[in-house]
Amino acid sequence: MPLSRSSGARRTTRLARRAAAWSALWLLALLPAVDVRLGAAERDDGEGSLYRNLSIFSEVLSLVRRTYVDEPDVGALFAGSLDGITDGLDPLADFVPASGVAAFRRAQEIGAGRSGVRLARDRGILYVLAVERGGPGAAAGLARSDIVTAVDGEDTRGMALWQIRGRLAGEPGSRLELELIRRGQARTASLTLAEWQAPNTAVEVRDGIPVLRVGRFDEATVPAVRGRLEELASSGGRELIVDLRGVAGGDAASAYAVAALFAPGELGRLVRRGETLRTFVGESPALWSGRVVVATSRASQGAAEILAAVLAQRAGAELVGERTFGHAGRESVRELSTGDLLVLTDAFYTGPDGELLDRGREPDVVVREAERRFAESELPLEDLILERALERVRSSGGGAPRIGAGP
Amino acid sequence: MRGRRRPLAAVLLAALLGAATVGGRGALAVGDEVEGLLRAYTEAVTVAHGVYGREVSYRDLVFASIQGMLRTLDPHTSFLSPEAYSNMRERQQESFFGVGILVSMRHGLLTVITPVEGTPASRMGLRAGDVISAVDGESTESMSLDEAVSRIKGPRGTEVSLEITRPGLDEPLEMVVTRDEIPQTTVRQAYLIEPGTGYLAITDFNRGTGREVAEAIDRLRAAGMKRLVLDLRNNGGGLLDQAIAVSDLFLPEGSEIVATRGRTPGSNQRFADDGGPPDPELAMPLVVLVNRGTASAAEILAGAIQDHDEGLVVGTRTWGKGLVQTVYNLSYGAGLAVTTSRYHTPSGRVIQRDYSSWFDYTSGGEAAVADDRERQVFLTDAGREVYGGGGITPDVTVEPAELSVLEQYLLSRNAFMDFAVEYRPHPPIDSLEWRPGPEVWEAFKERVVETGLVDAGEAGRLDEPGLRDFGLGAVHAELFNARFGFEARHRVLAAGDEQIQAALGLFDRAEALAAGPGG
Repeated sequence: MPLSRSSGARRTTRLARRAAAWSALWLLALLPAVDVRLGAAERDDGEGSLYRNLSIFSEVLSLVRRTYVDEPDVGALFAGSLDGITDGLDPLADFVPASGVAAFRRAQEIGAGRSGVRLARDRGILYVLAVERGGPGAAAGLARSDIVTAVDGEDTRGMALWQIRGRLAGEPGSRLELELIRRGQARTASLTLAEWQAPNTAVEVRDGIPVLRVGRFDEATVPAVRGRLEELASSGGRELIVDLRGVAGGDAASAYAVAALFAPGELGRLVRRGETLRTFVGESPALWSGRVVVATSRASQGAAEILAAVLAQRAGAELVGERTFGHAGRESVRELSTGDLLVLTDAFYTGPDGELLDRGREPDVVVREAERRFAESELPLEDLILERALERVRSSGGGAPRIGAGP
Repeated sequence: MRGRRRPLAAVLLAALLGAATVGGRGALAVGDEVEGLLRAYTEAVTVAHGVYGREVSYRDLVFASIQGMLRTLDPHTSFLSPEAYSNMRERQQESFFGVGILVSMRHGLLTVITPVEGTPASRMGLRAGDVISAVDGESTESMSLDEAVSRIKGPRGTEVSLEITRPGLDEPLEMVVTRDEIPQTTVRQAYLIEPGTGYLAITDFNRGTGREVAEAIDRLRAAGMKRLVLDLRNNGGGLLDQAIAVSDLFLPEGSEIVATRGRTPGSNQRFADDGGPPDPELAMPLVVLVNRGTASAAEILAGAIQDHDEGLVVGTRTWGKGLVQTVYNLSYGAGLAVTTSRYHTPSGRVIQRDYSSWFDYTSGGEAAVADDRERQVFLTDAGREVYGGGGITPDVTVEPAELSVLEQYLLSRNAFMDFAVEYRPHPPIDSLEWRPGPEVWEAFKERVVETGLVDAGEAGRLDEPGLRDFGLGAVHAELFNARFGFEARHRVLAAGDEQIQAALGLFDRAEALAAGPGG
């Protein structure tokens, strides 16, 4: 709770009000210059009106400029304001000033291809969204949900996503020193960048139960998963764990195409504010009709969430793990008249039920940190999730035949 | 169009910038800069509003951008939405209307932690461990803690019906409680911890704190208090005037308590003991306990006592929150807490810790605190050396006991409280002399294995002596809480609290201070 002092505040507030009223009027006078047409509804004083909220913004700006303990830098105040706009939308939105556009484009092209690490940001805090298994980030000991506090000694406070992604897209062979916070404890990691791509699929057999990991989603993923499923089906398997733990990003259309191997018919849509932009339909009959358990984690995001939604709703799959990240959308880059870029989601994908995948999906069997038994305290949560998924298959697997060892 | 608008904009802009342009740069230059920035800002807000994949309100966009702006300043300048601002004001009120219980969610059940003495809840006989299964007929099963609390609260004199599930009772109890004013006490503990030695803990500073502390001291004095342990651990601060009122009780009349320094004329002030009520000063040996959670107004109190050599400060270095926010009302019910000055203790120390590394700062990392050798030295009234640049450094450092992994695990799973709620000692606890015997620990071990918290194979680890003492203490405290109330619970915990025990052994040094030139 802030320590407050009321003396003199009332007088200043009155002055601030007056200044704010002026400045809000003035802001509105500017609006036509940026080609924004205000409808009658937006001129009125409703809670969501542009007028009302810009006047609050001006009040804040003017009070900070007049009363802050040190003289503030106006440019920095505005840079923070712009950055805050996208920060408030979702953890993947980004604001790129004109000076950073080239670096942003480069980082966008490389993606996780040098680090195997995906990042997100919440209220100015950068954190690890997902670490691709076997990649450079995993080798450096990074884990999902790690807060990144510094890169090569530079504090990340105020650092935008494009900036840190630029660092992670550096030259192969170069090294980044990261300072992290994991569950309240500070730690460091040394990340050596290298050319890297997550494998499309992998199958591991645990206690006779095949675990199919879909490691990334692109055009090559569909034939790879098809091959794996045909192989499993021909060996008589009736049970399967689809492992989507820590799989983030990827191509949505490929996720629907993979999902179509499990279920035919309408699988989902791309929706913008109630309007369907595209419908995804599975054309051929399903390849796999056995039992499916899906392992998800908080780091399952995007394409993985699409597949999880279809499997849950159309293939009778049981979800085991953590609530998924909660963001499967189409990214759009808008250039402003200043040359700055807004990077934001302009449409969301849905599952078969038509619900937007803009919030996490709660699994049927929830695995939480708080539910760990003491004997399991050393086990990473992601491992615990797989253990629980295996328990589910074993506990209600019935007499169905299981396949032998070997991938 | 544009040609006509420009002069108008320039006039309005001059009005907006007013006092802010007194600095080196001319009004026009600053005006052009700000105009361009505002234009870009407005464009970004409207584009985000139009493009985002689902409806997003201007309110959400602008509020988030204000947070973004304030993040560039310091960790304590903050914007308060109308809802957050009205909640904050409610919390700062001394009283609100409710039934008088502290509750929390335990295993997803709304559970009474303790009834507050002198409130409707304690008169009706609500007990620690009671589960409130329904409020006004609505099941609490799917309610959040906030939602349940807001349903229990309501206008004074109205009734709320609570369905209580109590361990050991087959049928739920139905209680109809009349809501009343619930004092938000900030002195939760004030008792004689040893003959002649008072113990008084202040949890934070709200409107009634000065009066509460004065009354508690009167009560303790009447009971024979000759010396006092003042516990400011985990006191995160609150209202400055109340910290000053409490300082009045411990300092000689006329002593400076704190000074604030800032950029605006109103932000430069000095506060001194005005000798007014509540007084007179304590004038007895005083040990002040502080830790990492002692912040802001509590640091002012601890700093003033240290600088005037009125008491011995014991514990660990305090948080270092010495930026003063002035809270402004904005339009439409929103609020802004903006840092307008810094605190300086009477010796001239700046309380605020370095926040240039935000993460070090918020995580309480030691990196943010300069090494003692690099820190500026200040002198107390009696000429003792104290350090600037980050919180109050205690005169005697006493670290708290560190919990083992297993202890933390059991605490985080509520193992001790869960056990105490259901455990019935034989014979029943009949006096404060009761001590838990080995059979209590055996029953506890059985219980945690039975509930699956600890595997049978690991149960041997529960007999490590440190863990056993800690666990028995925790169970003892919870049993006393249920049987005798909050103070009895605290007495048990205090006996196992290294910092309190160390404080009790330091009164000779506190006495030497009191006898010295500053005392």
